[in-house]
Amino acid sequence: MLFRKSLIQEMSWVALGTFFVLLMLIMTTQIVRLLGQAAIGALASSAVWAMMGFAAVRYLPILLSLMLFFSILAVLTRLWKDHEMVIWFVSGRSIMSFIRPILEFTIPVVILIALLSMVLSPWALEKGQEYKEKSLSRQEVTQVAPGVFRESPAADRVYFVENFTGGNGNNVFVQLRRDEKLTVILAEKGGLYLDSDGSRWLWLAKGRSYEGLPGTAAYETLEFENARLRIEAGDPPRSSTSTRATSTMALWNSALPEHKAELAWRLAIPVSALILSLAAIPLAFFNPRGGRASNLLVAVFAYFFYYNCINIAQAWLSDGKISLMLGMWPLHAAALLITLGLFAWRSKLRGS
Amino acid sequence: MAVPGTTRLLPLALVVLLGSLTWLLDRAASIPSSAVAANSDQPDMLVDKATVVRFGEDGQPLSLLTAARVSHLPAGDITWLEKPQLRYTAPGQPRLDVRGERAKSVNQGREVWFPGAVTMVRAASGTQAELTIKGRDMHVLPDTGVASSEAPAIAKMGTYIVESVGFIADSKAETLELKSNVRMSYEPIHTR
Amino acid sequence: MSLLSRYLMRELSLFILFALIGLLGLYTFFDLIAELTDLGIGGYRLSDALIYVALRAPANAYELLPIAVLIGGIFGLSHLSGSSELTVIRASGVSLKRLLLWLCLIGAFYGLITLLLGEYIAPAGKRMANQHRLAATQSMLVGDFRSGVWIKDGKQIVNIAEMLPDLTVVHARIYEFGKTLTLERVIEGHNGRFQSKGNWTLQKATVTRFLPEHAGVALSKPAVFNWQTSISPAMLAVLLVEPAQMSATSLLSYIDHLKRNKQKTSRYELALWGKLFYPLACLSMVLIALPFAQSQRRSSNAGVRVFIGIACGLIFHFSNQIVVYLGDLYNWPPPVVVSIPTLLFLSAAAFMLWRQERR
Repeated sequence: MLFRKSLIQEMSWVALGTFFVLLMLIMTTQIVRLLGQAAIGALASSAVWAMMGFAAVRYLPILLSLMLFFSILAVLTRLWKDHEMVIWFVSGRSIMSFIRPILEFTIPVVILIALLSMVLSPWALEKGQEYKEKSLSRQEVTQVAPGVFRESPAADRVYFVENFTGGNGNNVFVQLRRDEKLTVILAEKGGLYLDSDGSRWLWLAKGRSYEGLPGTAAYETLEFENARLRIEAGDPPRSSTSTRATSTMALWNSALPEHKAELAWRLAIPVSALILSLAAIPLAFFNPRGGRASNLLVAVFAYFFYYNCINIAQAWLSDGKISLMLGMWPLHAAALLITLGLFAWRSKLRGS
Repeated sequence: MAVPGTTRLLPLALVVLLGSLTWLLDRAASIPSSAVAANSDQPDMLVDKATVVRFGEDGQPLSLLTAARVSHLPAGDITWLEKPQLRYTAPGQPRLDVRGERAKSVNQGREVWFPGAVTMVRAASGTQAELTIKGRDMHVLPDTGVASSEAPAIAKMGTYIVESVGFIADSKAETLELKSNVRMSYEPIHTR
Repeated sequence: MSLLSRYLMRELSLFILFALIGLLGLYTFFDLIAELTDLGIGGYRLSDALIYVALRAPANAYELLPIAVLIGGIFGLSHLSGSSELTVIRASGVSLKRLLLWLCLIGAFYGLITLLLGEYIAPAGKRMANQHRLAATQSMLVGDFRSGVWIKDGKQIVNIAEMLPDLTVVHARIYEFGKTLTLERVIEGHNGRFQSKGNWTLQKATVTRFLPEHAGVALSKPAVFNWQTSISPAMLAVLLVEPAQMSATSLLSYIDHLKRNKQKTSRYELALWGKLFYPLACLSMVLIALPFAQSQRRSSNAGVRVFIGIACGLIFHFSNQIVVYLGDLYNWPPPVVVSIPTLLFLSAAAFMLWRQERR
């Protein structure tokens, strides 16, 4: 009983620590990418934090499986290093007896991973995309920064304001595109504002506009003292949902190879997490008398190799190189065989 | 490492964390869809002191419009002009100037209606003297150069003055057709 | 470099390398997942995706090196102090100052690697990766906006919708302005090629000239149009990479162009200062590692101490990015913005060391 309890507790603490470190790591790179987008106006600056949350949910399944693998590996290696492993072996435990506690530690998390990769991640992707588009179309008003080109979400309007004095832009350049016609507007002053019922206006003072079909002479020029132009405020048309964002049920029903490949990928994450957790036991073998931590390097390579094989298998599945019926099961079967082989090799060594 | 805590520590912590993260995201990401109905009877463009020039395929100016105020209604693509002054310089037609209190231009300016008092001046051409018509509620079709009205109007051409109710003036054919109760008078040139 | 410092260097480098490989593996893995969504577009095969991801590795390494130095440093030093080698080193007459000096040397060495990575290897890798990807997917370079790249150059505003990987301009529209905010000419052209400094040639061009006082619109369609502009292919290449990935030299030339055209330069200036301070991050990481590793008195929760060390390092890296973004948003002076996190952490590390020494 003590054997099981202490092992799981230690793994739990290391796992929680690893989880936060990995989460922080992902957050750091995501924030760089999102802030870059916000800087050029491709993402509403108010939406940066929510988008980071969505990105987190998207990467969680992989993070959790990495956390499991690493925490089991770390704890078992420590047992070897502090010679506790020898004591357990002397008291009648074999390498096989580690399987039960490891499984007890891993199964609940694997179920969580399955829930995440099957349900939560697609939802996060879909919701994130919708939120990004909605917040962008609503945010256009505050977007016109001095000295920088800005493009509207629907890419039909481009603004350039030379500098700002007292909230109004000077030397304003606007290019509008409406079906085939292109309109260029130059004005001494200009700005954007929202009127009472929420539609959005572009106002310009003392300027000229040139509208016409590019390449023809049939232009229409307009000189004005001041002008106000209402910019469409309706929500932009929803872009088609990518395969990653479609729900698992939809994937199950559709016959498209691409959808089946995505489904196989989502299933592969929990399955591989389970197999890798078991493989971590023999992989953690470490010769305490001066042995270098080379086994950790092997384990890390094994982990990433397995995961990249899953990615490549998904690519081949969607290309039809592998039959959909087979899916990724041969890959998981091979991984399981290798794990059993490792167990046999390690237990033979111990002679028990 | 005998830190107190059940063996269920990890799954519990993760479930709590993920649950709260998802709930927070759902709340943060729910924006009420914009209630603005793109009411098309409201104008979507307003311009003060406008000068509009339209060029033809050959690059020559076809029409020059100055107006105190221009507002465009997306419903029916209608443009309202206040104190408009229109000058048409289409090739093969004498220049046509129309001035009115207000004007309503429809389908990209191919049809313009001048309610209220209107003055139209057709420049002299080789065969004809300058024609000036003062009337009301006049229709102008710039492409075909035809101006018409049903209301009473006074036309002055060279030394003739004609009053009628309703007329059709065709710049291309350089004709003036008067509809009903036409009264014509001749005004000699005073040679003092 | 005495024997001892060389040993320290080798020992730490092993762990730093190990941490870097682990992190790079994780990031390459995420890049690959991102690339898989684009398989099949215009014949983009799996091998192209693998090459693209491999070419991006230096850029990832540049971003991850400070964190790897921190994690490697903490593990390395904990390993040393765990096997009480660190105490032996200190006992054998190596004062804290000399130990710090060695660590600074190691930190500076990795700082140098970061500098080399950031200045030459990463931008070149990124450019090759982008060009390879574009050639594979036969798609065009478009830059930040969907309507392509927008450049203001003197009396011209230029919109380059698409470019080929070898930076020839597929289609460009140039608006040329008169003195009093009037549009004088609109020039559209295809197949723009750079001839010499200051001029390009455009083929199948159409030039629309607006005569003054509404006199008319003159349209001409010259077969070849000589386009005078200060835009250079190097500048176009710069516009296709986000500021953080650019090399300092190209950043400097682009900031100069922006200044000449009265355009906002803060985003690129922040990136430039960021680049100069970034190698310093490695130095501060090593110094931060020492207090965490050294204070480990074979106490049971060594793992917790290591975890806090890593978390601190990540917070440092995270705050670096946030501060740069806020600096751009609120126009704070770039040198100050960029140095705040590094100086903060250096002083924190110094304080912890001082406290440990005193006790």
